[in-house]
Amino acid sequence: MTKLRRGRQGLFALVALCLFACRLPAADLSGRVRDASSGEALPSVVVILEGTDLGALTDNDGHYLVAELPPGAYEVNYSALGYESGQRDILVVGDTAITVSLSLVPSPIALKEVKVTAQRAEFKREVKVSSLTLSHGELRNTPFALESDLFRSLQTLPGVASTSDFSSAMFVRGGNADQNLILLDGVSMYNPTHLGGIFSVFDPDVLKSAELLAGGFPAEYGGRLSSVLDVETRDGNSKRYTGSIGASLLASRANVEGPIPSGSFFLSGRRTYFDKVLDVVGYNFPYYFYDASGKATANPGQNTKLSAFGFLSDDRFNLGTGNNQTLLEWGNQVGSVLWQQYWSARLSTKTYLTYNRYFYNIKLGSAFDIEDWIREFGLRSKATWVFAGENELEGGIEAQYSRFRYDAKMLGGYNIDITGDPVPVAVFAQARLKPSSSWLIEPGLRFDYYALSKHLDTSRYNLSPRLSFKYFVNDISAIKGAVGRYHQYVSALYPDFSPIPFLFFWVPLFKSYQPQQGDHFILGYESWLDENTNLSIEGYFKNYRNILQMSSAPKPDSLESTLLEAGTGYSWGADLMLKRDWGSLSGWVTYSLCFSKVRFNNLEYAPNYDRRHIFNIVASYALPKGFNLTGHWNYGSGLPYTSTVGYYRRWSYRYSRDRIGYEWSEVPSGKNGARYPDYHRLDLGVEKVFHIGKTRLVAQLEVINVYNQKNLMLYYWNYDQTPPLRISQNQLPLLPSLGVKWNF
Amino acid sequence: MELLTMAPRRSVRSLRSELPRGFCILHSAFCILKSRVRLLPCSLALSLLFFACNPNPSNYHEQMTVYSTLDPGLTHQVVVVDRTYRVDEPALDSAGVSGAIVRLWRENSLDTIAFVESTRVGFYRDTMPFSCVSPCSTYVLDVAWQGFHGSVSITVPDTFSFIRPVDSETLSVVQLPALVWSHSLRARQYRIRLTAPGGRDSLFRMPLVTQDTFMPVYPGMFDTLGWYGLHAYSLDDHLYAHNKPGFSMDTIGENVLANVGAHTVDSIRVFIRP
Repeated sequence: MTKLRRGRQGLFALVALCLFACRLPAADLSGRVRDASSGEALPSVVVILEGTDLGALTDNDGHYLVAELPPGAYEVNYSALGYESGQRDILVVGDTAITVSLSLVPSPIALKEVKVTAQRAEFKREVKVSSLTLSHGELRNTPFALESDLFRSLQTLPGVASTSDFSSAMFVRGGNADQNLILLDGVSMYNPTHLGGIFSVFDPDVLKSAELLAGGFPAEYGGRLSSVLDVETRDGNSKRYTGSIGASLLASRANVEGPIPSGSFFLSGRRTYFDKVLDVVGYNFPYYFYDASGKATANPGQNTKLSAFGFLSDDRFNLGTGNNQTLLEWGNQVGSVLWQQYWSARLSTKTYLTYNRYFYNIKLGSAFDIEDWIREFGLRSKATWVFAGENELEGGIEAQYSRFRYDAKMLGGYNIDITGDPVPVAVFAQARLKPSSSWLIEPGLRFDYYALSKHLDTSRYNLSPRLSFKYFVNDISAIKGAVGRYHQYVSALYPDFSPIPFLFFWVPLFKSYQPQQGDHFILGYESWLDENTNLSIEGYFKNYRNILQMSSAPKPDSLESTLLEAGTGYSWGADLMLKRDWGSLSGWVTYSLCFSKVRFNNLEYAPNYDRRHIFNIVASYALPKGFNLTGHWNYGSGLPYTSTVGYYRRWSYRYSRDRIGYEWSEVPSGKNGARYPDYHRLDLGVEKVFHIGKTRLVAQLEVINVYNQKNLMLYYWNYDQTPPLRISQNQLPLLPSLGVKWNF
Repeated sequence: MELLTMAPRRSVRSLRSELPRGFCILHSAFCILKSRVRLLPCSLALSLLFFACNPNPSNYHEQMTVYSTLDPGLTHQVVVVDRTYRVDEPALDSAGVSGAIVRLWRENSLDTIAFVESTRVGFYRDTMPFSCVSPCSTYVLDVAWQGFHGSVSITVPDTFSFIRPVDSETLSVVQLPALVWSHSLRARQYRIRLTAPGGRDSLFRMPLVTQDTFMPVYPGMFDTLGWYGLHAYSLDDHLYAHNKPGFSMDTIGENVLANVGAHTVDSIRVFIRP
């Protein structure tokens, strides 16, 4: 019986092999789709071969591939949101690969069907567990406070919590703010914020897209526990010179772009001016920030793309000189070179060479001087091979040479000097397999090596397996899930009681500290409720080991080994997103439920970013005559804090005064045992576009916190009276904001 | 290659028969959602109301607080006994509470030094005619008040003295030597206080601390020329811990908080010239 079965299996295999060998010739159709007016590569363009069930969707670089096309004549239809549909006829002869470059002409009329079809195509093609992408338009249409901001837009997505109006730091699915990998054109960034964290440094005008992977991210990403934010800048206009200038209450900005031989460039910059304005009226507030970016892109051949990107940002507050100087300065200097090569329709490589310098200085006269900087040179390379239809195999390497320096000098001999040259290297392999029309599976494996050149005993090796899948219940619904292990080798130093996360000081893993480790388990369901409405819900569980935070009581005689304390933690919850697009009216509703706990020094508590419920409504409505309305309502349940239940005189010997004295001190409740009141806020905006000749003038009015909700940031106590008086420190009040931008 | 255009939608009923049972249950839930989309906001609002109620528990209970820094250089030792107050309760005007029983004895000794309440409510002093604590000795401080009871062991550091500069030395502001002092047994940390000519308060609010027996000084520390006071304190383990950032009070008994310890002092004065 067994022999018979084996014989049958062998026969089937032989037949299958013969069929494979004798199959009809088939060719691959590939190419790139570009904007006809600017020459920019277009992502999410739907390419369909009319009358067949064949088609493709362009990737972020505008590239598409329709594999294994039988010989014959075809009509290729291609379309994208905001563009007139295009059509081309092609003839496939034998198995010769065909490359067809396509272009789309922008259309002033929004065609909702196109967007829906593109989203459906993505739904069918990608696993996309916990992946949320904001396009250039969505980034610009989220209401803003003073300045439009990427991080503020991301905070409207499910699973993303913020703790304050005065911080753009993100807490993703119960993870801490330093557990997010932020990539700008392939460069990992540590503190991409202005004004102490109120704004991100990313100017939405220069961004092509931002993809947030809130969990279960694939093997090509590593080095952080919670999430990945992959930000890509757009290419400049390769057809003609254009530019824009703009101003808001906070800053002015300008950008210019245009063609260069075989490519394009853009330059962009902004700077605050209130230091200059206040100086005119006789008030000295020597603070400013600026950021500037530039990019040159060249396409020396149909299959080659080269680009060089540079970015600078600087925040500086400098008051006084010498022993009376107060200096606060931080910034980023970033550069990357990209080489993207399509070796064939099925094989491509993408390689980044990166440089990043982050620095932070704080100096208070001769009493306090902290210098922190990170310098990194990196290589990030990935090869993609498409095989057997839509299956993909990817492999790559990441290598960095970094130098961290944290040098704190305080009057009286408190000195901390942490210098390290970490060398993280990682290799990864991942695949996208489609074993049947109902399944998409993405397995992956990442191997990380980490060493400090001055502390070779810190060498660490870690394997991080990843797996995600999607099961199509039917054409409109799918179940998806992911599991994975993640490691992190750097930490931000800030006290955990701070109401605002302070992502300025970073230290690498050193001494006996172990890598932070986390596991993600995600299961979700996605469905199209009707033609225009997409519903996605995901449940997750995450656990953490060796998570590091700044020690509450470091020992001066062993600062390095007691600076951080290790703990454990977990979070679980669910994220729901309902996204609807009626054409002129679009938006999304999100709800996030999250339970997060950490355990340090045998004490388990909810961290101060544990927001149990978050509810967002985001809407954008395009009106006739160039008006556009935007709105965002956000609700968040109260954050944990350690409340004050009593007070006492804390007597001590005052060495500075040589006598005893007291100050009032508080009796705290249990660690984070209380919660602040709930948070909610409505922001509205209106935008009007004026066409002046061939130029466009955009005027914007935004109103933050329309109903002037007094959202609490923290309580503090006034002990000058008895019983002490609790004082509330509120967040942003009602705040109107104006902006104007001229595109030429 | 997968069809990218939208396929005709099939009814949920026809699909159910092809699916595993678990998927059917999940899908049914979503169909209800789909057909009752209007219920979604209501359901969410109700769940918000239900879950978002986070009680702020008040777990206050009264505690006794004790302060003392034993110093063999002082004739009388002082202990301050006080209590905590509920956050909505007015505090007493006095510095502490009266009626406490305060005792001090050398470890392994039967002789107990009783403290009496001074005229300042909450302050308790010993009645010995000379200092009742000695360097390099360990004492037990025991305090009781209205059912609260706390006890703590304190080791007094040894005496020490400045080696450089010496008392009344004249120093050039452009050629300042590092301060050097002898080691104090049982000392965990040293604190330096620099006082201006004619002043008692330290020139710096920032503490000058070290675990070494020397400390560099800089010309910027001296604003004017003249006589400056240099005071060095050797701190025991308790005071070292109390002076760390983020320190919370010791617990020396049930509901008894304490900030107690011991130090020894050496003081000199130097003349700073151009």
